[in-house]
Amino acid sequence: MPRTALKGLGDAIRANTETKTLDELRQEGRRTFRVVNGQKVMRIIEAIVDDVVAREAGEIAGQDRERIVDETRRKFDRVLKMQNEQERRITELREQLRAADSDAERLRADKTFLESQVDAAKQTAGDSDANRRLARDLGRIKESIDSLERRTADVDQTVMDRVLEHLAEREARQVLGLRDELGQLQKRIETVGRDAAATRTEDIDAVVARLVGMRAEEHRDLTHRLERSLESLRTRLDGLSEELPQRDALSELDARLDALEHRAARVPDDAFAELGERLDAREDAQHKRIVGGVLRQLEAVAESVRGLQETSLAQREEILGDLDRRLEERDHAHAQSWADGLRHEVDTLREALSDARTDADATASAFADSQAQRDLQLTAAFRQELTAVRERTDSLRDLQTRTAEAQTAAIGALEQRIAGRGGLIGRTAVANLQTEIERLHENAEVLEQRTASALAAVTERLEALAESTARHAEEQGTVLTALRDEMTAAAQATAEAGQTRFESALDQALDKITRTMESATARPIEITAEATDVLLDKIFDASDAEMSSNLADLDVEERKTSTGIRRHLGRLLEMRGAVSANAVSANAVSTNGVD
Amino acid sequence: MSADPTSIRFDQAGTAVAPEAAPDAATHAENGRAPAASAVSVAQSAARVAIAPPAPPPPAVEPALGRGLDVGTANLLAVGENATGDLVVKRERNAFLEIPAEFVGNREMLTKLQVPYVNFKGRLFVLGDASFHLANMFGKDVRRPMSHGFLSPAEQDAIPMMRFIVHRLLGEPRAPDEPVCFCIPAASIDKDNDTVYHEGIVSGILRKLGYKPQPMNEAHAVVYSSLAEQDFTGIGVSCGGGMFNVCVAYKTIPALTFSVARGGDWIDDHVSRVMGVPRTRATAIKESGVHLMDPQSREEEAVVLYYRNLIQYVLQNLKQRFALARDVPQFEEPIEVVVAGGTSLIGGFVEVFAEELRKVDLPIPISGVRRADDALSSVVRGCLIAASLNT
Repeated sequence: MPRTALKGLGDAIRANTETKTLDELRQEGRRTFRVVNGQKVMRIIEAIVDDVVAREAGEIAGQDRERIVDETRRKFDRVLKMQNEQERRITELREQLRAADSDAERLRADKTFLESQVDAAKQTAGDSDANRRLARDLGRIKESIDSLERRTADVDQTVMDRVLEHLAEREARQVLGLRDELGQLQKRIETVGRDAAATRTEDIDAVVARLVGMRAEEHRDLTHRLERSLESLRTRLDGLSEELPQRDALSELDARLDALEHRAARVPDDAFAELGERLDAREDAQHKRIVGGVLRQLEAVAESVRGLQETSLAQREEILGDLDRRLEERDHAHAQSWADGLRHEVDTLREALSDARTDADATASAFADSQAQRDLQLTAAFRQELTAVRERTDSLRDLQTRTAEAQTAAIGALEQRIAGRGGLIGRTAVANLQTEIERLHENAEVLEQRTASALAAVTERLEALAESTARHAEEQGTVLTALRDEMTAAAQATAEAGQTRFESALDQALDKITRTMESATARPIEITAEATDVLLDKIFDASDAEMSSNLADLDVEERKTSTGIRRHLGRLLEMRGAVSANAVSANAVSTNGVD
Repeated sequence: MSADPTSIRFDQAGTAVAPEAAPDAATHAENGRAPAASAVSVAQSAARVAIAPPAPPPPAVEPALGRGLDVGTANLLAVGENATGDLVVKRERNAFLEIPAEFVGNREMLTKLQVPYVNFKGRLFVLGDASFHLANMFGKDVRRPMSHGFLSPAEQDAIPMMRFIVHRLLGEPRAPDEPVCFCIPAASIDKDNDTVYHEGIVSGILRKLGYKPQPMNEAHAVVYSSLAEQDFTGIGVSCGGGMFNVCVAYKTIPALTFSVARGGDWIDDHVSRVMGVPRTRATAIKESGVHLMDPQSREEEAVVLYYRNLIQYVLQNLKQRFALARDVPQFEEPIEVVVAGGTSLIGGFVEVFAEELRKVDLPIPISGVRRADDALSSVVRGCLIAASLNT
């Protein structure tokens, strides 16, 4: 609902209220009072309308809403007017009451005075001056009554229309009462005078006492009546004040009833728009609250996530560093173990190769030994046989030689005997000897033939044996050579394979070790940097007053050194000049990789 | 009693020949210990193996502007030429100590007591040697901007303190962008480190002070300062408190460089551990005139053991580097090994080094081992030479 519909309420409130100061209110005898604030009233009305509209938003048309508002406003105006009138009436009543109180007070004072006059009259009964004084007092009372009447006549006619109905009645009653009382008092005075004139005895005291008692009683009645009037007025005022909410509640109920009557009406777009705006506003507010809460939570979560990220990054870096170290250690260990394994394998291969070679050599040697032994045995046998044959041949030759010598010696001896004995024995003996010699010669020849044949046979046998031995040896040599060749080829193949494997494994290991060592010993690109001015200014960010010292006033430990630098400097410059000259002549000095 | 030889030459058989006596044998007397008898039987003849004919004296050169800066774990040194042409070496301990400002009511008193301090962002720091003296007083330990040759990552105040100490040593540049050559270690083979951050920060500090920074390998600086006669060909070894740096150079060019994260501090730590003595006690034992060839006590034996172990470690790794490297030149002539640095000043260091060198059998011929002249300033003088080249 547009708030402009309630705009006039403020003006209505201001138009129907009056401004008074606290002092004025206190002068009116007020100690407590209810304060009606226009803004609060407006808020009350707005709240009532909003609640009603909110409850009946789906069923109340815009025009109805406006009508409700207008009616509400009119009712409020009426109520306000009524309230203001009541307030004003109450104020007037209070003023009048206050005036009446003051008049009553004055009347009481007059009464007191009159009583005193009565006393005086008692003392000076029949004194015409007292009567004149009494008459004068009565005249004064009348004047006050008249003034009171006139004062009441000054009241706003509009208020008097109602208030006079009540006040006039009451005042008339009061005035009448007062007049009656005055009449009574006058009568009493007259009576008193008459009594005083009539009798100046002790009855006057009794009469005066009775009069005093009557006056006191009447005074008490008057006071009681006044108090009751005041009380009733107060009660009425309170009732009027309490009636106001009731009237607001009544107006609210009225509005509700009107709203209920129009529940069946169609909701116009403005109501929907208003409702929508309000709902949107509520939703926006709720949404904002929710979004704000969510954003705060998100920020907290993001903060915690950032913290976690930083922590995890730091942990990650630590872990990566640790992992790198461990990987490096592991690589080293692997390289070491690999190298050790390779070495072991190489050693094993070498041992195997060595063993194979040893076995081959042993086998070959054994075979050769066996063959050699066999050869030796055969040769020894052959030699033995040959030796035996030779010995036999030699012996046969020796025998032949001895036989020949013996025959020759025998023949010589026989011839000597023959020569010595003359010829007697000689011819037969010679013949016999010659026959025997011839027989010996034949035997020798046969023996020689047999020896020769034996020798030839032995020789043939020996030759055959030699041939077979040579043939065997040749065959054995061939076999041995083949065996050796085979073993050599096998060993060589094994060695080559092992060598190849070893070399490839060694190359791989060396390559890996080299890479590992290179990475460990690689020289990084030399990058120099200086602390920035920003950093240094931040470090030394202190004023001169904050950064003082006595260093300039104190000496530093110093000494002169006898070792100078000129010689060194000269040599350096000389070398630099030489290097430059060499560079110019394009004969670069190279020393195995050092520039 | 023989003196501590500063040079040992090898003959072709690899045996030591004619050790040269230490020029400052008085060092032992100052420490209250007489030089001990050497256990190495060396030939007393004056035979020396000629390596190469001596180079002709170079022409005299007037050095231009330039400074050398040795950024060491234990000490910072700076060198420059003064008005009379002398080299002046300045040294400051690379340490500092923060003291509560309320304990120092009058800072002028610190100046009178020659205590260097800096006030940095409301905090009071004492620099250098004075920090050690005050550490005991305040019951604190000194703080080190550097560890094992590099800026200490755990020390938050390292960079500002380094700046102050460097400024104290170098002072103001004598000319805009005066070149300063500072040494940096090589990447360690036994520790995960790199030089990028350390070099960047030191360069930045020098540039902020108005200098033109130039980095140089620490062991290469030893070559520059000690192998001029050998045409800057040989092996330089810088023996520092945090690490040992090695450089194999051929005619000024570094062919092989590496470092090990062990130095004098490593020896102190281990001696302290095995002997059950405080670390400061172990340092005092080491610096009290021990002779590595003649230990006199159990503690000294421990020092000897760890020194020898460290030298073996370095040489074994050098041999391995030779085996792995592909671009190391083939030295036709024997080359010399020069050792420098505070850790090499102990008696008998050259002898032990020579012994272990013979055992390790490097793939290149070695003519001998010697300690650099003025071993403490060898690195910083090498840096000055490099800086002078660029002026």
